[in-house]
Amino acid sequence: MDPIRMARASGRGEGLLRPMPVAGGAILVMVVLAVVAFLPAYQTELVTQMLIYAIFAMSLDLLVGYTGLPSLGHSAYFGLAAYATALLALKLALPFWLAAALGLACAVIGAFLFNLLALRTARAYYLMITLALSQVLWSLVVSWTDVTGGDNGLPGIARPVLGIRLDGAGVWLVFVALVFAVSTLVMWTLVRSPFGYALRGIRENEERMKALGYNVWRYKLLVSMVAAFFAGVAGILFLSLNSFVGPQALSIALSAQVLLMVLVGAAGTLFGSIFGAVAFVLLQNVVSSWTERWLFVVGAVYVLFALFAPAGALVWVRERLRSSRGRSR
Amino acid sequence: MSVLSVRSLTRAFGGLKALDDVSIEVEAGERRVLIGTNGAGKTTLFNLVNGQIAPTAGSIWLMGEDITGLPVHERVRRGMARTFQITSLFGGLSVYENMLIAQQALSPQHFRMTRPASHFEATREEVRATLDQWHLWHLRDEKVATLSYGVQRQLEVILALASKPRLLLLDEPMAGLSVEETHHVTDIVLALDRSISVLMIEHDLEAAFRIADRVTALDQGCIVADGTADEIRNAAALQRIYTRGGALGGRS
Repeated sequence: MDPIRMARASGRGEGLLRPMPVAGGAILVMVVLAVVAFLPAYQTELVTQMLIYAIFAMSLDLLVGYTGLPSLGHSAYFGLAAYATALLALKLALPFWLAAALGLACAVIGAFLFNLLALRTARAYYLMITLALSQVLWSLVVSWTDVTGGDNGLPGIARPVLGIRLDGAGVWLVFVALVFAVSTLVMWTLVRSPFGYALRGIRENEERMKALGYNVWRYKLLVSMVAAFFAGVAGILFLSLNSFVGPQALSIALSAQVLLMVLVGAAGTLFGSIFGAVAFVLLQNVVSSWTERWLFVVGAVYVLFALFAPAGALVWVRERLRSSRGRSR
Repeated sequence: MSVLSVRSLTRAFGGLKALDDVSIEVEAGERRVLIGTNGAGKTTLFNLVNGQIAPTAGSIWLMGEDITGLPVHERVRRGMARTFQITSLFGGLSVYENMLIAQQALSPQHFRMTRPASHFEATREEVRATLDQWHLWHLRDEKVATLSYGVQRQLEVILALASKPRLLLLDEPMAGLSVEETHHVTDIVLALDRSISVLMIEHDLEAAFRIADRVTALDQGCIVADGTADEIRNAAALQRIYTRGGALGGRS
């Protein structure tokens, strides 16, 4: 049998996190159908948000968890795609799908240009330069009021039509779930591909990768563009969910939140990011309905994770399962 | 034609010349060992040949091609491989995954992202055959960081060989090994095919003299002796530099 398939966890939860795509897809379909059938619009919107954030978080995991590139500016691509799509749809009256395609192209080109500069650095310096570059975009959006609407953002972007109108909360959730499934499948395939193994190698030991003949810089640049593409997908879905985009979409707060989703879920596992996104949306929306001090609760939860599950939730679960299996033997 | 030709290589760090006008030729199939005390310039020479640092002056030729300005990965693609003084593996990954990454490095599919690595039958078979050949197949699922130091040093050499190099640079492969492990790694080096030329840094003089066709001694960035193992063992210059640092003829 193929040892890659049967290999035990690499220490970052990969062993646990190789669910069969069919099973994963079936669960997703059941959840979506149940939500659409039984939950009111608000909860349906929450699940939609979870899926969008999950795409966003998984895209960051490609950088942070798989390649070892700690980005604190990932919202740049999320916001860049959303703003570009909104501007093209509103100011140039382009059809939504064309505007979205060009918006995605902007995110990917943005990642290419950003990383021509950022990849000259590494580790904490990469984190700082990505933060700085995303802040440049944020300040541009806030100050260029005539075009971007400044702090007021750009409202009034209609949801697209895809044979049928995607206006209703239920039908929009189904569409987002479809995009989520395709995005997950593509990213899951990527991290298991030769390219994905090269990314793991770069994360573990960049010098050794060079000594084996890998052009490390090209891999980093390419994965940054792939990650920006999926961050852009999430940004455009978010734009359509709210029919609005504002400077928050480019903010450092959003970059930090998505980084926390990845770290809480378990970096380098891809599926951990889904857990992180679900936990984040639940904490943000459910806890805030109970108490005004919801940020305190959210902060406390993150501290607990840092103390007791520093490798992330899914790795924590895997270790518990492994130790309980060991005891039962 | 020499496999490696180092011509008048100089590397200065500020006012300090770590390597001063060094020239070495490594012939096809030759086992050349670099010896010298700490700070002699051996690893600097390796890093220059490998492309990790750029020379201040001089040039490096690999199989007749000037590679002085090429980055590390391009040199590997032209037939050069190296190991490191401090074990340099993918500690968080399994032995199998380490081997897979090394094996696919120069294959056409190394940039593919649309198919799982497990679907590339030829690479899988190569990985299996290599691990079988080196008696590591039973350790395939072990995380490399958990392996013994001796096995890690062995794996270091095996990863370097995955690219099927014409020139192999071994940076102190016996460092930190027990006597038994040293004999094992020495045997591995001796068993290498003669289509691979070897340039090796080694502090263990007994192992160095056993392996070497020729020995080059460096001191303070300069070549002070060069010849066969027997010639070098008795060279006055070598006696002088090693009596500063320890006994000659065994582990320095």
